[in-house]
Order: sequence, then structure tokens, then C-alpha cells
Amino acid sequence: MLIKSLTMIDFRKYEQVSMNFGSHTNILHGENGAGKTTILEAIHSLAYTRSFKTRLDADLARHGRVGYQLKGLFSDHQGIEHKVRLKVESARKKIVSVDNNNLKSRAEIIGRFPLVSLTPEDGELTFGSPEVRRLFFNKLLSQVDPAYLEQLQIYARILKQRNSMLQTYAIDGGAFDRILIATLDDQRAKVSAQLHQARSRHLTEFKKLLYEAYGQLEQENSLKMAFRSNVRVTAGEPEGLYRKAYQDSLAEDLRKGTTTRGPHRDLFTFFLNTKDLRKFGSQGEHKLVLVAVKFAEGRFLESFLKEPPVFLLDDLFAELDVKRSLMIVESLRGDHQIFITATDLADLRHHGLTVEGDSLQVIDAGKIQDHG
Amino acid sequence: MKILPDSLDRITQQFSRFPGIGKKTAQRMAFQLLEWNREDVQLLGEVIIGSNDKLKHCSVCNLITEADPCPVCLDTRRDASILCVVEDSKDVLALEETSRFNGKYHILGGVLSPLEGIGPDQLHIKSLMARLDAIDEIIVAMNPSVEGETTSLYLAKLLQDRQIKITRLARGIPTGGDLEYIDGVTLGRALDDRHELK
Repeated sequence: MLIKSLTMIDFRKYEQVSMNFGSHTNILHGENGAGKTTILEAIHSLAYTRSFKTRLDADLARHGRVGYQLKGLFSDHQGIEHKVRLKVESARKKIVSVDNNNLKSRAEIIGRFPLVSLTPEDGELTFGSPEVRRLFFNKLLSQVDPAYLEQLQIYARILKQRNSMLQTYAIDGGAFDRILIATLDDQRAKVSAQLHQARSRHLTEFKKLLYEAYGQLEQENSLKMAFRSNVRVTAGEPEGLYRKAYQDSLAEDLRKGTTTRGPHRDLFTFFLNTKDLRKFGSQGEHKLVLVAVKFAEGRFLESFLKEPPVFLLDDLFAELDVKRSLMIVESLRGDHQIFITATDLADLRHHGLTVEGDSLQVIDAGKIQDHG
Repeated sequence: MKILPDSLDRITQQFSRFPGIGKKTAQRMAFQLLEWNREDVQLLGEVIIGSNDKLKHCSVCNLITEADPCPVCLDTRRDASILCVVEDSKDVLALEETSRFNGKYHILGGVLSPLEGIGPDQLHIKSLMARLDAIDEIIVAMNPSVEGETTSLYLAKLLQDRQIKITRLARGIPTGGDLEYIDGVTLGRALDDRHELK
């Protein structure tokens, strides 16, 4: 996958700008606040209909505007081009089109223009709560498995309905339709089993890629990743086991006013030399795992989608030591289009990144002509 | 400065309360109305008020009707042993278009959605339970939404101890659809709901 050109209108600080990208390495440089990351955000927004920084479109519109517009020209590995356009007219009206066809749901674009981003916000992936890792894997699996995305949406809806029943009971007490909650739990058990199966299957594959990527970055330590459900789904038929677990936990759920068991509480945990990374890892150890996860993400997407993803590397050299940063860039160069932001070009040269040659495009974010 | 008179504003606002009618369309409708002669406008008004006075829900099946019970409930040529349960009266129109169904209907008036405060008591489920004598089959024809599914499964649970066959509409490939172009999710459903060729 390549992005060949980008137009931003009223997006963050840009009034109206267009730019072309090189098919290999693109260096976006400029001072802090010049708008480097904004370009990455725009690319991400086109491919996934939302930014990696915020879900609020109002935050993305230029000061004083309610909406914004982005246009991108993507090209797949066969050279077939696709025009993607994202137009936000107001907080409630967002239109995404691919080749002038308006999409009816987000699901239609997820996985079509694969990207891997590594930004300072991604630190949460190893440092943050289990929720962050669940979201990460949900996004990853949704891209390669459309059925998974649909199951997730169904599960979320059932959960919302069920929690609303529990909350009403917590406030009102009294009347509570046991048949209705049993119905919701039957429905939930079915989709829980599907989610569990998809997660187990895909994560076996992902783990292989992760351990391989980590081994390339670091040979001293050993990384393990575990996926654990709070419903034991080992031997036997998963749907039945989930149904049983949901029946058994109803009393507790009623007491707590929320749904305590199910895939929405699944845990994805990283262990470094058998110790929980989140609790015991040093800054440096966290970063290496994060980079390995991102590498594995790229390879995972590529193996399923048969399309090399675009890499968006925000402030990579600030994140990681020089030797490993260069190793990453070199390993991606050639097969992938990559975007690297940097405040100082001379610094990159000093680090040994060759800024010469036609495979590399340098864009000065501070000097992009505003022609609005 | 306000250019349009209040009366035009008011009618635009009323039109824009309809589903699928935005502000622009409502405005076009309002302007169109100015072109009409007085008799036509009067007729439109009377028809609207008249329908509001006359229309009610059938006390048996809850279909929208002028006469109670409704013509469908009274029609003796229809098979009274099969009941098709739908969300609202519009669904009956759609099913009637197929000319494939000759049973009777029961309109629930919505789907179960605790989030919106719609539980079994807010739907016409009790009146459905009161109709079950001499019913052999119930076809649950809900929309393929999560709540439609909840409602279908709920009814199946309520009816599981009765000697009544419960069926639901098949889901899958539309007629004239091309396998190649059908989204994976729909095709997957069609695979799940496949049936034996005999």
C-alpha cells in the first residue's frame, strides 16, 4: 500500500494544502508545532476514518471551523489507485467515500488501506490498562476478519442492553424480567464463543510473529504474551460453557450493577522473562516490546491482506536508541512506504540515516504552501 | 435579518418532523404548498385530520385500522392457525406484497430494548400470548438487528413449553445477488442457514 498524495482542508492548523509523497521513505521535518504529526493523523484518518489521537472530529477542525476535509490517493501493490475522501461537515455528519462511492459503515474501509503507526500515544499499549490492549487487538483482528468486527459490534450492543437492565434493577429493584436477561445471555454466549475462537486462532499466529520480531531487537530477554478469558473455555463446547458461566454470575452482576464476565474482560498480557511487563518492566523494556508489537502488527496485516502496510513512525528516534531505530528503518525500507517525523534533519544524518538518493522524500512541514 | 415569514417557518418545521425529511426538503415542500390552490390545500388538511380521527390499532392484532377488529383478523379465508409476528404495521404491507403468506398477523409495536426502556410490557406480547389457542405455527419476522434477534429469541423462550412450531425468516443472499459481490458477513449467514436440497 502506498499513499501518493494528500490534501487537507481546515484540518488542524492547515487551511488548504496538498502534497505528494515518495513511494519509499518520507521524512517529515520541521520544528515542534510545525504540523508533522498532523500529516500522519490525516493519513490515519483517511485509512481508518478516525485519528489516532482523538475520536472527536471537532478537535480536528481548524480553529473556528466546524468541519474539515481530507483527500488521499492510495495505490495498492498492483498499482491500482483508489481515491479516499473524508468530509466532516459537523459533529454528526461525516462522509467517507472510496472512489466516489459513499460508505455506509466504517466496516467497509477497515482493512482496505492497512497502516501501522508508532506514535508517543502508543506507549499506553504496554503501560496502560487492559482496555488499551483489547482495543488494539480488536482493531487488528477487525482488519483481517470482517466477521470479527461484526461479532464485536453485536457483542457490544447486547452488553449495553444487559447492563442497562442491571442498572435499572440497581436503582429501582423490584420487577426484573429473568426471561429477558436469560435471552440476552443466550445471545451473548453465542457471540462470545465466536469471539473467543477468533481471538485464540488469530493470536496464535500473532504471537509467532511477535516473538520473532522481538528476537530481532533483543536477544537477552524472552517475551511471552498471554490471552486469558475470565470464563474457562478449555474442554468442551464454548457456547455452552459461556452460557453456564453467565447464568452462574447473574447474582453477582445484579449486586454489582454491571456485567462481570465475558470477552469484554479478556486479558492480553505481556511477560518479560515470566514477569508482568506492565508491573515490572523498565522504560527501555517497554519500548522494545512496543516496537516488536508494531512490527508484528505489520507482518500480521501483510500476511492476511497480502498488502504491505504503510508505516507511520512519529518521533521514532526520540522513542528508541539510534542503533535500533536505524535497524527498523532499514528493515522496512524497500518493501514499505514509511513516514518518519523529525525535528532536525541534520540530526538524522548524524544518526547515520542517508538523506540522499531518490528513494527518499523530504517534506518540510513548516514550509508547506498554504494555498487556501 | 429574517427574510422568510413566520407561517412559512412553522410549516417547514412541521414537515421536517417526518422521517427522511431534512430541513431543505421540508422547505421545498412548504414552497410547493404555496403554489397549490386553496381547495387542494384544504383537501390535504382534511385528509390528514380525518385519518388521525379514524385510524386506530386493531384490538386483536394491533394492526393500524379504521375498523376494529381489522379486515385481516375478520377475513375467514385466511389461515387462522399460522401467525406471523412483526415489529410494526409497515412490515405487514411488505409481507402482503409477497402474496406468499395467507395466515394472520400480530404486530408487537417495536422490539425489546431495555436501553430505551422497552421491555416486554411495553410491547404487545401479552395480547400475543392470549391468542395462542388453535395456533400451530408462529413465524417470527423481526428485522435482522441485535434487538430484533433478542425479541425473536425471547418469544421462542416464552413459547418453548407450548405445542407450537416456531420459525423465523431465513437470512442470506438476495435474489439477483451475485455471490462474488456479496459481503462476507451476509454470505457467512447464508452458509449458516443453508438447507438440504431435496
